[in-house]
Amino acid sequence: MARLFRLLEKKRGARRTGSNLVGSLGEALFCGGLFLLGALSLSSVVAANLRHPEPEAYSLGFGFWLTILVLSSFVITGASGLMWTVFRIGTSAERRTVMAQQAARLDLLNPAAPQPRDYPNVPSHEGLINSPGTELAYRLPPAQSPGWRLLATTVFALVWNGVGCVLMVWAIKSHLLGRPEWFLTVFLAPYLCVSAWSIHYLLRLIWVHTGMGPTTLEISDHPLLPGHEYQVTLLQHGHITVRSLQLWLLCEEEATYHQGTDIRTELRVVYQQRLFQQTDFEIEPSQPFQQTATFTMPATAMHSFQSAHNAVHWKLLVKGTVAGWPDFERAFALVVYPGQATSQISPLPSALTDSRRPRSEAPTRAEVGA
Amino acid sequence: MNPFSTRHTRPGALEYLFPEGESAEGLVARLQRQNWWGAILGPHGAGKSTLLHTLLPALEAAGREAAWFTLHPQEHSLPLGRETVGQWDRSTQVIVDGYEQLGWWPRWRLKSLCRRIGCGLLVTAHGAVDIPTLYHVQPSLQIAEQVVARLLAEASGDLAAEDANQPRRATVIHAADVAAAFERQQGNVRETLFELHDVYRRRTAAREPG
Amino acid sequence: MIQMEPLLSLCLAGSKRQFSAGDELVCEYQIDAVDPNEIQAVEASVLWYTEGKGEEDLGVHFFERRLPSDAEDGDLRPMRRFRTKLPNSPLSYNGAILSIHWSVRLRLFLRRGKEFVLEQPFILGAVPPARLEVGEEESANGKPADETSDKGQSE
Repeated sequence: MARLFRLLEKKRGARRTGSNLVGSLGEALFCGGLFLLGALSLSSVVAANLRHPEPEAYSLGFGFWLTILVLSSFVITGASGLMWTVFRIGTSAERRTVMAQQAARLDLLNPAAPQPRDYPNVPSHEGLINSPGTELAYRLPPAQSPGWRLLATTVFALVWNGVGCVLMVWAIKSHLLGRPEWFLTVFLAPYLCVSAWSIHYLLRLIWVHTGMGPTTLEISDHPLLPGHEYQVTLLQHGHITVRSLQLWLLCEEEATYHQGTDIRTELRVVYQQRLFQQTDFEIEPSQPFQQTATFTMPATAMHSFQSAHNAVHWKLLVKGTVAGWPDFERAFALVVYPGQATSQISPLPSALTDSRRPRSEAPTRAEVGA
Repeated sequence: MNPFSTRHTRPGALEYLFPEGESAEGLVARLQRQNWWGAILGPHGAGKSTLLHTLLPALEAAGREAAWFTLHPQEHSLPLGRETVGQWDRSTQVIVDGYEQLGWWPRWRLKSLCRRIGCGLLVTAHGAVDIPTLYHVQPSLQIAEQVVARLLAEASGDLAAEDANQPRRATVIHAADVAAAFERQQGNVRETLFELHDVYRRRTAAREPG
Repeated sequence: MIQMEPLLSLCLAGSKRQFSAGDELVCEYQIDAVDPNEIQAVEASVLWYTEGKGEEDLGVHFFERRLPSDAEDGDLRPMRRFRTKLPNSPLSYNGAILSIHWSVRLRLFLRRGKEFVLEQPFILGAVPPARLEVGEEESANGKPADETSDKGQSE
């Protein structure tokens, strides 16, 4: 309890003694409060001046504009601070300069690494190797960032509550002046319900993403080649009680079809391998969970493929079941290049009868064309 | 090749199978009686787009020049610039697949243009719209079975010997498979064919050596 | 009057139907039973296309279009050979909802808008078909590298 409410915190190496969850929530509440204070006050001043201008109280002089400026700064500071807090959730503050140099040296030492241009329709892996890891060569970016959902919710909450403040001030003013705006008052009831819900939803999202903590995955080499061995390190941050944490290697086909006026996308897992599983353990903010596993890409794996409407994706998938939190899945894209076993056909002994042996060639008739 | 892959089932690749008493020519004649304005209605996956493609040759035979628009999700307007509209005349048949996705203003503008120029307007929609109904596409198990029989016959190159009105008991796909898929997909013929794609794939894979 | 259709012949040299990435593909084609003056153009291409539950995608690896002016005596009918080095990807694939096929395609354009097409499929690479029933693969060496995981059970 004392740790949660500690006003000062100590930094011990890379660890902090405070709670990241409480810190982020507190920051969000402070910025949100600042925004609401500014919005309410600004609305009050503007509304008072517009509806019942009282030159004695609100003369449009230096003082008025200074008030407007100060209150506007509250609004801007509060809004931008809240959005900044949201942006920073899930990102790491670790230094990577030395690791970036190390990863660059590794690439230079391996001139035979396949270049994307030699492999048509194999997705480029450049976006996956521009972040060096701290334990292994590369840190993989997550396939989906929670940022957009948080950002959208934040923007909605800000705008909705900002407008709500103005309307509320207007309604209260009308009652105080003895000329109640009943329609506005009645309309405000459901409006404020939505406001309350948006604040609750935003805080819950921040709570979930901060409490759960980011998941980072590092890999020893990239892109992947079938038949080769790789190491992968999982780091899970947060302050949670984990029932089960699994790491899977998956291959998934994706097919998109524009049918009539609908767009239909189907995904199908065609390969899955569990790399490890850990159950019933605690993760502390000061000590993230870390696990390294070794795996071999199947020698006959289909390579990654991407065309306009169809794809073969490889990915690492982290699945977690956490006490008191919704189950989560976090995916990290991989690029797999064609391997020796699948690129090259092996010569078959002549004695074998194989359905894949070519039939004897004979001239064939033309089909009637278009 | 899987006979249920999209290259065989997409609108235009598959002919619309009319129930008894209906034909493409009959529908076009009805459209003409409605001053070339009509709406084809039906639920998802019933075959509205397929019917449009099937009507196209009959429309062209009736002297109509098709101006085709397909609206996908998130598309709520049509590209009706001068270059496009300038080519329309009284023989133009404007075809809009996905009419209900248009907003009220694009709809009003489209109808106004068509009335002013005197061209026809044929649309598809999932429910009643502000254009006289031409035809209701009603999916049925019988139609689904006929479609499947046609696909399997084409796959085996046996179309000449196939009577499309008699569902064929193929060795890979059976009538029970079609019925079960049709029921699971709640009458959506398109999704029924997608489900049969997986059934066909599974069974032919099981038959492959090694 | 009975009008014969043109006879297109297309064969892959060596009678092979399966190739490795980087192999040289040699094709020969020939056109018969058609008046040389009727031929507007001939196109030969080596391409891949997808098939399955998604929209069809197509990729052209090699393309050659010949006009009568490109041929000796303006006759495009005599045997023509072309060769191309096959790419590293995409490999032929027989998946659950998506397949990738390779093919050599010959297209003949005649006057009055007539077209005739001939295809000769082949296999690039040796990717086995995708498994349709996916269970958990044996993680033979999918095991923790660090055996000193200190909390809870480990698999």
